[in-house]
Amino acid sequence: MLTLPALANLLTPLLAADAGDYFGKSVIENLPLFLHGIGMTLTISFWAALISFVVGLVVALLRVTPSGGLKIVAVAFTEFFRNTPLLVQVYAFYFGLPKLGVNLHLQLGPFEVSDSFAAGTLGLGLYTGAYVAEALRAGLLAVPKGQTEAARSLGLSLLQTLRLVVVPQAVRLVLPPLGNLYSAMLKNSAILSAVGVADLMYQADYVNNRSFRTFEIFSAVALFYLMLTLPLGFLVNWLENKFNPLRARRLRLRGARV
Amino acid sequence: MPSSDSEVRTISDSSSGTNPPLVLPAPRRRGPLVTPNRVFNLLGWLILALIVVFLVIPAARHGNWEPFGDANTWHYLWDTPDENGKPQGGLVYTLYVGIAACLISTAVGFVFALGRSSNNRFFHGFCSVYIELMRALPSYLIIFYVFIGLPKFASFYNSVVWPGAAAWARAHLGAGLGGAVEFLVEKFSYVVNFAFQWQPPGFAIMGLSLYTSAVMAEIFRAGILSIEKGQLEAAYSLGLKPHHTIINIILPQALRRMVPAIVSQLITLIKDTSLASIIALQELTRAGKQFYEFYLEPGKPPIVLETLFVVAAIYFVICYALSIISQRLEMKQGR
Repeated sequence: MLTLPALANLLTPLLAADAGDYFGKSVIENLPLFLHGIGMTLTISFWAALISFVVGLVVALLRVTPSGGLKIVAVAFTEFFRNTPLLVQVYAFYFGLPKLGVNLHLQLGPFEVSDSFAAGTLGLGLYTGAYVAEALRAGLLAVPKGQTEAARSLGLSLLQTLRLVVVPQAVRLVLPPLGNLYSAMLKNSAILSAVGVADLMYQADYVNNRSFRTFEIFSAVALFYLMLTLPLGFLVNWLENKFNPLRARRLRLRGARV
Repeated sequence: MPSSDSEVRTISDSSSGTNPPLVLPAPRRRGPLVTPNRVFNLLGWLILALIVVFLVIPAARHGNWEPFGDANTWHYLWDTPDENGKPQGGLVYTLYVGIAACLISTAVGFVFALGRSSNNRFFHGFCSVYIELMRALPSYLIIFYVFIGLPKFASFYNSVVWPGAAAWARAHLGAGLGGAVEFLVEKFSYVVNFAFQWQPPGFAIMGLSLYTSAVMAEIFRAGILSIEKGQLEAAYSLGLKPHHTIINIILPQALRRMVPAIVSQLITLIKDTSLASIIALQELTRAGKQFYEFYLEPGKPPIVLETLFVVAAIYFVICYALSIISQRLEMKQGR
C-alpha cells in the first residue's frame, strides 16, 4: 500500500528542493515583509473606507434631496464609478492626474504620502463610495414617509429632519450591506499593487521574484487574506441576524445554527 | 398619523410554525424624501452648471481627442490586429474572457449549489469549503495563483501524479478497479493540460471562473432556498421525482428571483476581466495602456487620461446596458 514515506517522495518536487530545505522557508524568512504588507493593506483599507463613507453619505443625501441638478450630479457619479473597473480608475488617478499637473506626492506635516498611496486610496475610496451611496440611499428610502412628514410638521428643518429622524433609523437597515461592501473593499485593495502600493500582494510578488518559490508564497498570502476577510464575513453575518430577526428565524427553521 | 405603509410588511403564519415568514419588499416611494424647497433646488442647478462650465467643457476642449477620430485607434482597441489581421487582444478578448467565464461559472456554480444543498456530508463539506474559500479571496490573487501555479501543477501532474498513481493502482488494486483508476487519472490529465495550453486567455478564464462560480453557487443556493417549503411538499405529494421537482417546480420560480443578482455578478465579472491585464493578457485595459504609451512622444501632448476615459466609457456602456436590462426584467416580474 501507499506508505507515508512514499507519499512524501511523491510530493517532494512540489514542496521542497533539497534536504536542508522545508516548505514555507521563503515565507518564514521574509515574514517581516509580509507583515508590512498586511499593515499596508489594513492602512489603505482604513483610509479608503473613511473616504468612501464620506463620499457615499454626501452622494446619497444629494440623491434623496429634492433638487434636480444635484440629483443629476449624484446619479452620474454613482453610475460612472460603479460601472467601470477599479483598475482603470486607479490607472487614471496614478498615470493621468500627474499629466494634468496634479502632484500626488504629498507632505502632510511629518507624514509623507507617496503618489501610489494617494492615487490608490482615492481610487478605492471613490469606487467603494459609489456602492456605499447606493446602499445608504436604499436605507434612507426605506424609512417610512410618515416619519419625515411628522418631523417637518413638527417644525424641524430639512437638515434636522435628516439628521435627527431619518439617519438614525436608516443606520440599522444599512449596516449589513455596508459590512459586505467593506469586506469586498478589503479584497479589492489587492488591485492597488498594480500601481505599486506596497500591500500584501505587492510583497508577495516581490518575494516571488527573488526566490521563485511561488507555490508556498501565494498559499501563505491566501492564508493571510483569509485571516483578514473571514472575521469580517462572520461580523457581517452576525450583524445581519442581529438587525433582521426574521432572517435569523427563517435560517433557524431550516436547521442552521444562528 | 398614517400607518407606516411603506415599511417592510411581513406575513408570518404563526399558527403552524413550519412556514417561513414571507417578507415582501417595501413598495416604491413616490416623490422625494423631504418636501421640495425652491432655493435649494436653484442652488442644485447652479452647482450642476458650475461643474459643466468649469470641469466638463474645459476637459472636452483642452483634451487631445484627435487620435480618436482615427479608425486605426478603434481597430487597436477593438481587437489589436497583428500584421496578418489576426486578433491579438482588445475588446474582443475582454468579451471572450467575460462570456467564457460566465458560461463556465454558471455551470460549475450550479453544480456546487446542488452539492452544498445535498444531504451527503462529504459533498456538502467539500462544496461549502470551496465556496467560502473562493469568496473570501481576492479575485486578483486567484488569477495570479492560476497564472503562476497551473503550469507547475500541470508539469507535476504529468511527471509525478499520473505515472505514480497509475503504477500504484495497477500494482495494488487489481485489473478491474486499478484499470478504472488508471483511466480516470489519464483522462484528468487532458483537463489539466488543456487548461494549461489554452493560453493566453485560458488562465484568465480559469481564474475568473473559480471566483465567479463560488459566488454564482451562493446565488443559486439562495434562490433555491427562497422557494417556499409548501412547493416542495406539494411536488412530492403529487409523486414527482426529485429531478422533475428541481427542473419543473423549483428552477422556474428560483431563476426569476435570481436574475438581478446574476446580472449584477455578470457586471462584476466584466469589470474583473481588466485584472487579466496584470497577467499579460492584452485585453481592453492593457490595450488602452499600450496605446497611450506608444503615443507618448516628445512634442506631442500626452493622451493618458483621454485614452483611459475612452476605455472606461466602453466598459461603462457594456455594464450599464446590462444593469438596465436587469432593471427591466425586475419590473416585468413585479407586475
